Amino acid sequence: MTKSLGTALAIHTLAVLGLFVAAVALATWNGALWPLDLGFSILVTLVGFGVLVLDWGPVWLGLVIASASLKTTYGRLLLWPLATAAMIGLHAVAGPDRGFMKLDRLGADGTLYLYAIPIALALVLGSLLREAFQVIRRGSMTTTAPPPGVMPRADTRPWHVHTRR
Amino acid sequence: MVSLYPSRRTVLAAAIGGTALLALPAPLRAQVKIPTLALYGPPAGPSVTLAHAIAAGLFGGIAAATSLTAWRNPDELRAGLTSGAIQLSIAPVQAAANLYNRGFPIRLANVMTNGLLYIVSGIPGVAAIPDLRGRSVAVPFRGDTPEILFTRLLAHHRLDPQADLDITYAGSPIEAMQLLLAGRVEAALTAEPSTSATVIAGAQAGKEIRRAIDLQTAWGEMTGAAPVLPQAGLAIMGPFLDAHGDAMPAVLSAIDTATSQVLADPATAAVHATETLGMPAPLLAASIPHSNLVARPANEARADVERMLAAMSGPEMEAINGKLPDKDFYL
Repeated sequence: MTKSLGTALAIHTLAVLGLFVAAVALATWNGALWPLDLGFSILVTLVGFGVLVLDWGPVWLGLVIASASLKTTYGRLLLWPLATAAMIGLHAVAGPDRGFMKLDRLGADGTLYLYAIPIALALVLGSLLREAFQVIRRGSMTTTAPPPGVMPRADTRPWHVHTRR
Repeated sequence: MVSLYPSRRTVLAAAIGGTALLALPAPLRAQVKIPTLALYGPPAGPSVTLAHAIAAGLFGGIAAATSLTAWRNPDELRAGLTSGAIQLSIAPVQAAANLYNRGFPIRLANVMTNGLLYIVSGIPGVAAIPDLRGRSVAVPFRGDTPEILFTRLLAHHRLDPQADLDITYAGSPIEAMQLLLAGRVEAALTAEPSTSATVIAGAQAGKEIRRAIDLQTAWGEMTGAAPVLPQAGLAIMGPFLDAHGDAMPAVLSAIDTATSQVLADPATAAVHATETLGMPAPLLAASIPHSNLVARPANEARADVERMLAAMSGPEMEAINGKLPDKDFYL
């Protein structure tokens, strides 16, 4: 059974929302952003994502592409910890030169918190791109043009939305 | 039958009561409340004190109604003061001194911060002004007090801003923060609460952004005096003093109390100020411990004020119309 683009979009949006809520909660807790101001917590979270994207730009693109090339959610779930570990390794090697804290300063939980959710978001984005690409490809494969001079019958569905059985 | 003449007992009681009233301190004797105490201030730390004082009802015995309005830039303040629309405002001391020396009936009632300027950086080696040699630095507030003070500090350490530093002028503290977080500059001149915003945003992105140089400390080292930059205080216009001058001791006493309460409980004070100042409560709460909030009577702070004005105004003191303000400037 295949999912429609709408269903895929809804599932992925829910996943993104869940991850974002977790990121905002962690940003508020770790940053001690009290008294709570949700708008400020969201802003700080977005600024944090923005800086990470700017600093490791090509890496994120690679993650999105890797996720899009995987066929199953299981594969992406396996990729998540691997990519997080790889990112932490990259941080250890090149992070301090780019102004990031050293790993011992960040701590294990701080490092995980820094990369786990952004990487999950990149993987979800890649998955969404794959779904969208598949739906578009399915649509183009089932689209057929009517023979010249032939008009669609009034009692049938429009000629350009034939669905394969 | 009711007598029209007071009894001996009534006269005696009134005399005792009147004497006791006269013996009270002046602030408690303020007979008539100010109809509306309209206060103004910048969207920064010292205004938190006023917002808290209003929310905590500390002006309740002085004024029937109180309000606090945040001005967004010094030009807005200057326009309000010169037009008379603003009678009481937290103002940059330099701006108040300049207006006073130009003949405006303005006086400085107190100093509300001992300085809130910092150089923020993620570079481990940056810890003092000389460490900025060869570094790229974002500088907002071009032409205003922070930049003037920073330039004086650079000159003291024989650093030429054009030759020895790579200065990028930013349109606002937020832009300076963005430049620093994006790695386009190595350091930035900031004032609270922008400094706290930069540190918070940096930490969220895993960056080691810290208050690398406390300009108050650097200033104290330069002048050989206390590490104090009396940047802003409560300025009062003449018409207000003429009408309600007798209430000023009580107003200043309320601000003194408010300052103690704000420093003791920044979170509550931040909640009180967030709506008026249009700034997030967590940011204000984080900035209060670094804003050096005080409530020093202007007379007591005069030496520090004069030291700052003299150093930042240059030999000709053109920024304050050629001279230090006389003693009447200090309430």
